[in-house]
Amino acid sequence: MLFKLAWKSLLERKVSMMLTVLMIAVSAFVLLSVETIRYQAKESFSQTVSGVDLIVGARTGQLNLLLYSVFHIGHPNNNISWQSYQDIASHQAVEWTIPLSLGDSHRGYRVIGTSDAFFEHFRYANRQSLKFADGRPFDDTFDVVIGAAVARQLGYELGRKIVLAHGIAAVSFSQHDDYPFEIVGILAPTGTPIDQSLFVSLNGIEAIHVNWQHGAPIPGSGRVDPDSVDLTPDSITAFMVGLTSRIQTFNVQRMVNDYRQEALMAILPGATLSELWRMLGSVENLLRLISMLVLTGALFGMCNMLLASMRERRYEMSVLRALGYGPWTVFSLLQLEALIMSVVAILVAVAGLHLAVHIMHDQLMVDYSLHLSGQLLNSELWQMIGLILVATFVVALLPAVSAYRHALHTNLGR
Amino acid sequence: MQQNTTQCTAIDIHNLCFSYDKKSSTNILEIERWQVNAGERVFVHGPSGSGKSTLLNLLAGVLKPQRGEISVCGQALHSMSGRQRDVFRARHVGLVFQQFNLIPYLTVRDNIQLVRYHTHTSSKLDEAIITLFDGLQLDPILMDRRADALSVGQQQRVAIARALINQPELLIVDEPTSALDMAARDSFMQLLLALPGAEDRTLVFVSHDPGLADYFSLKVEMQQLSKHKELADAV
Repeated sequence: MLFKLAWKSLLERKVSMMLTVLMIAVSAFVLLSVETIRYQAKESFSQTVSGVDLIVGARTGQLNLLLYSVFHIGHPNNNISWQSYQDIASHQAVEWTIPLSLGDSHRGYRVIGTSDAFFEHFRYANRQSLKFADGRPFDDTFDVVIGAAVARQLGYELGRKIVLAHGIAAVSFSQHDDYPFEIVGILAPTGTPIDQSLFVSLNGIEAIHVNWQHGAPIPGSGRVDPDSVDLTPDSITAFMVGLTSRIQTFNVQRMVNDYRQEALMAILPGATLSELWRMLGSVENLLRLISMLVLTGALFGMCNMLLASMRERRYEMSVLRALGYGPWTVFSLLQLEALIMSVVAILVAVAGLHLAVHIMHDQLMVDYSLHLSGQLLNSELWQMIGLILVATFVVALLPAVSAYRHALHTNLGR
Repeated sequence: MQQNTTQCTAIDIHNLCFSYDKKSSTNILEIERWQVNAGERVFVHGPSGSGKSTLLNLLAGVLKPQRGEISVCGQALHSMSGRQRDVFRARHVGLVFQQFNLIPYLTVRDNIQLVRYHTHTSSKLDEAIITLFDGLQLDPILMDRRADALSVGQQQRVAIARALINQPELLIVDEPTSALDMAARDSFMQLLLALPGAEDRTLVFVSHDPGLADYFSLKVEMQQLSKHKELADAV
């Protein structure tokens, strides 16, 4: 009965109730969005690479190397010579390597030149290996394997010929249209930037750049038969390293960092990710603080609405007292009304969050390599929802205590 | 002020003192002795500020006296906690006020159901309402109508139905006719006194209109009941 009374009382003040709910819903949406993106970004990033002991690239910032080699964000500032790569790859502590050659794209999706080792050794999430939804790894120079999202969004199937573009812009004016690639494999979804990428052999990357200089074809050079030239790459962008023993990790890292022939650096993906989160920590806290302040403002709006209604509801409180409702019941009624508004607002916010993620998912994946899973209500989000409800209770204490005091001193029939 | 004590006592007040200001030595109400037998119809009248409403609040258990004893329907209200008095009020006392006090945004049924909060009985509510409506000459179709959609007369009768739904031993009616014209007033009084079970129910009827006294077997003048002569305007 108390719930019915609270609900109908709120419905009686529909407009102010709806505005209050909307105000709380918007602020809860901001808070939950910040929390979701923060949590899911961590989940997504930490699932992107697994079982890789080191990543080696030209000397740059640790984060930059991690971002461009694993998450396909940003640009490398230099390459590694093929000779240096081979030298390090042949080190006795190195079990396998995955070379990465970046710099080309297809309709905005990054193209990665690599070797068979990528399909054999690359792991994501909890050491899951890559699986093919259809087809096989590349074999020929002009074979291409595409990620699940690329296949879905561009509607590509096996056997289709595609042209790669020079550079990583969504629109490129330098097309490698002399050398079309045939799709031979489509990877199963991974929820990582791999879904948004295309994979070709290092030979393929070399072949499409024969007779190119400074990012453009040499005028009048024409198409060259790739079988007639040596397609061994001069350089690659970076490579991932798996070691025979993890005990060797720091030794190999030091060896790479001290490498005399070339300025290289090796990073531990996990440690670099931790550094990234540490750096982002203060920004996260600031965003949290702002969204909590917005929420607090909205809750005070609700408090104000309930307090404003108290004057007209004194009569109602007297009726309840006459019918045997105690002051604590009247207190609970006000708290229940606040709770109902908050719960409705949270439901609206969560629905909005799901809708926003549904709409923004692909864009976030393409632009920021951020995979947001459909399972948004994780334990941290539940904690936030709990926090909103506790804050609601605290803020609603003011009108509830006011109602309690009125009920305590009310006289019947007045 | 003592009535016949051989019957069962509905109201028993002994050396009661009440003041809104607990620190004040001036009491709003001081009743040395007052007893009302069960089934009695009592007409309490007096000018504004004579303590009528305070007496009602004490009888209903909303207020607690500073000193003295007050028992209603055999229950010692002066020694009960606030919560116990709330439950007592819900179960044993029916109240009808001047403004009828229906919650405007609830339906008639919901308004009546509010009283059952402490009795925890929702079964056969509609049957009980229909029976009461029959006695009150109300159309059962009104049950699903919002209280603020009823006429004044209908609201008044619904308020009575709500007061009686738990079959209280004591019915307190506070100035219910003050807003009514003479014809409506008489009609209301006849209806109230002819309700089923009215003869077994103790009725305390408060009004400043002495013209209603003829309907009652027992008349109580507030100024005689309460020893306190300097009645506070604040009451």
